[in-house]
Amino acid sequence: MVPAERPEAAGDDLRDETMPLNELRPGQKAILKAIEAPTALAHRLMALGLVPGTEMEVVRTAVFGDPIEVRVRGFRLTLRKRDAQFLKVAIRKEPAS
Amino acid sequence: MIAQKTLTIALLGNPNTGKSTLFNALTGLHQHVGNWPGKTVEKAEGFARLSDGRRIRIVDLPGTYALHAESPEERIACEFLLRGEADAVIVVVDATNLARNLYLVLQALELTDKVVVALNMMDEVEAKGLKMDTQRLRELLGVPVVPMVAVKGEGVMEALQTAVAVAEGVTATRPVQPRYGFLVETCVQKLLPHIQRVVNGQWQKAGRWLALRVLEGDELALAWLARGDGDVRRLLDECRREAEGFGTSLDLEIARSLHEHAETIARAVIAQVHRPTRHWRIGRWSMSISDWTEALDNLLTHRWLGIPLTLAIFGGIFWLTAIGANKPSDLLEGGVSWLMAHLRAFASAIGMPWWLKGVLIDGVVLGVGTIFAVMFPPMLIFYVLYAVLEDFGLVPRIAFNLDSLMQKVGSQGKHCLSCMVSYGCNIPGVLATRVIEDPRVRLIAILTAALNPCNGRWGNLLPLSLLLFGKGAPLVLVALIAISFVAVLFGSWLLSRTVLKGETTLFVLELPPYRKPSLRKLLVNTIWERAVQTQYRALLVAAPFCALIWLLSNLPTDAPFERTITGHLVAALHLVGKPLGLDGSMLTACLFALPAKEIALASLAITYGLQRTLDEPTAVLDFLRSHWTPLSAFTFLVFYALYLPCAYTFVVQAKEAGHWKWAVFAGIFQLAIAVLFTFAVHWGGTALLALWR
Repeated sequence: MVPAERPEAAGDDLRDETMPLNELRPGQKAILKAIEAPTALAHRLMALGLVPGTEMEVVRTAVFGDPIEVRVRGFRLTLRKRDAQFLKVAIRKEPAS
Repeated sequence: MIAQKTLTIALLGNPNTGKSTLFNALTGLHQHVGNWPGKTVEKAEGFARLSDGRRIRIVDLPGTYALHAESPEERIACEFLLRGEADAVIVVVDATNLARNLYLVLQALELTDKVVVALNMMDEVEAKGLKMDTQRLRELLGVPVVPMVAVKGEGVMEALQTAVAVAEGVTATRPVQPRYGFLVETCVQKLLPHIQRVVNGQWQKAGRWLALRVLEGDELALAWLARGDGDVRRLLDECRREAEGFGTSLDLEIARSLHEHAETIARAVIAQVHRPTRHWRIGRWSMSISDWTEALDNLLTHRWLGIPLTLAIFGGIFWLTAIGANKPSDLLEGGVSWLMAHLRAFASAIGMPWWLKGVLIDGVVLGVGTIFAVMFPPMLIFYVLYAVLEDFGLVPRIAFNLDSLMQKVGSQGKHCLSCMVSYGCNIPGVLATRVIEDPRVRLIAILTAALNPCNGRWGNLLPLSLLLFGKGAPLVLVALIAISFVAVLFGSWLLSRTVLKGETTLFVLELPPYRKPSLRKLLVNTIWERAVQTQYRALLVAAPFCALIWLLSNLPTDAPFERTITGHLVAALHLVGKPLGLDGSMLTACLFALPAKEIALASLAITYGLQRTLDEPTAVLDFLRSHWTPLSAFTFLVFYALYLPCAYTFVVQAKEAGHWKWAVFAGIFQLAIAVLFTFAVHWGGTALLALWR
């Protein structure tokens, strides 16, 4: 298990509660906060650049909502729901108008 | 002259960076290349020749995102590099995706000094309006950097020559040593003395790399060190507790630092200098490649349109294949008849003994000629059309669309792709399973590939349906497609719950930008290497079968059909087929069609005693129409669609699965499924007909 990112590195404009990546709607952006996956899986995800603090955007979901396509570090990647659920993300607060 | 040691250069890189293209360009060996990630599962080897004539051994390592040792493809790469077998390593980098690719480069630099970075797809970088400062990149990495466009052959020899210069020490390298922050560096220092005590001379350089892997908790690295002292594990626990004290973990810190380092370098060397230049034009429409990719993906991976569009594209390919192959096949068949007439006359003229004439001319030449005439044109057309789609980048999109369906039967999206290819030809269908990283799922895909009726089978299913069902033919064909697809799903489901039970691993799929297919690759690789070579090998396998079919059908000489060996075979198989609603002639014809599914009709003509050779069957269609009931006809079509692939497919299955036993298993498994489905159709149909009356 990989613990959450260091508190001092977290942005102020992020919501406090996190949610699994696969619950984002297409077009929504969020910051990866923690990878709560078994070690081997977590390592493979991290090698792809999915480390806490990384911005991720869900581009689209396939039929039946699985898998999902995400944009991360300038490239696009697809992940299954069952893998994406380990990625806990926080979305930005609505800008105060 | 003093014999020189042959240098070994290894190719390393992320999946889909053009590593295989570089390998092919260097060696002339034709590794299968396409616009999809993950084709090199095992490492491939070949030889390149320098301008001075020296031979260089090139090893293509599996595509990997990192050098941990946790997945099979990473393990192969790591172990090869650790053994020090490579005199230099070329890390192939997708220059359009520099930051992520540099992660692997930095890890390689920790493992060995002898590294050259080949920046591939530089043309796409320029088209995007980006400028890459390769000189600065070289300074930041401390190793040579060679710009390259592998598909066009640009920079390929330069990359090799630079690697040779590095291997021989002509070009010195001073690779950058990534730093990991206080916590990780302290832990590395703690571990290093213990690790260096365990590893011997050639691994000295790798000490730091090993320490980092141990800190990540890499089980294989720990196992490598297990021979040494138990201190390593004790120290590791100590370091982990320390990290926990800081509210973090070591693996995370290592990955984060390395990604940050990679991104810093990427930011320093890339600059946007102008707007994207290269556009694809369709009429008045002109868009940059990334916009095209975006627009096309919105269509092709659309929630509801994606699957119908995919089916339509493949439907179109099969339609083009069938239409396009008609005329050439007719011409070739005409050629075969002409050749046969002359050969038969020639054989009589020189007084060739009847048995030799029979086996050689009426058996082998006629059989092989007929198979070539009906098999090659559709195969060529299909291979080319499919290669275009593959290069274009459609393949990962299909996997994306269909993954959730395949997940339910214990497989994954890339399996569907092998199924679709199998509809054209089972052989590339089996080869298409190479994209599946998980060996367990890959085996499922290999074993079920041939349940998809190929072009050869459709070539008989189509005329038989039209002849026997008239207006009902489209319905019959749709039913056959549905039945074969259900058979694949059922087979995968069964395998994943019995023989090939196991855990599902991470499913990662990259969706690369769409790319223009390369004409050179199409001509050399697809037409020559794939279509012609596959046809040639299939004919070699088929030839002895054709001789055998002639012998069985013509011995003893001058006997009536019932007294020939084939006649006896038909009588014996009659009993076997009875419970399935099939007669002996149908089963014997299926047996005869094993060398190539295309000859099923000619085989039926033989097994119903209408002719003795594989000549074009003329009387058989009328005979079948009066002889078969609709139910027995449909039962036969189902069995024929599913039962077994052509003989050469087994050879390919054995090769791809790694053992001939898997090919035997595939045969038995597939036959069992075919029998089950045929049985159900026959008795279900009989019951329905009884109710109807």
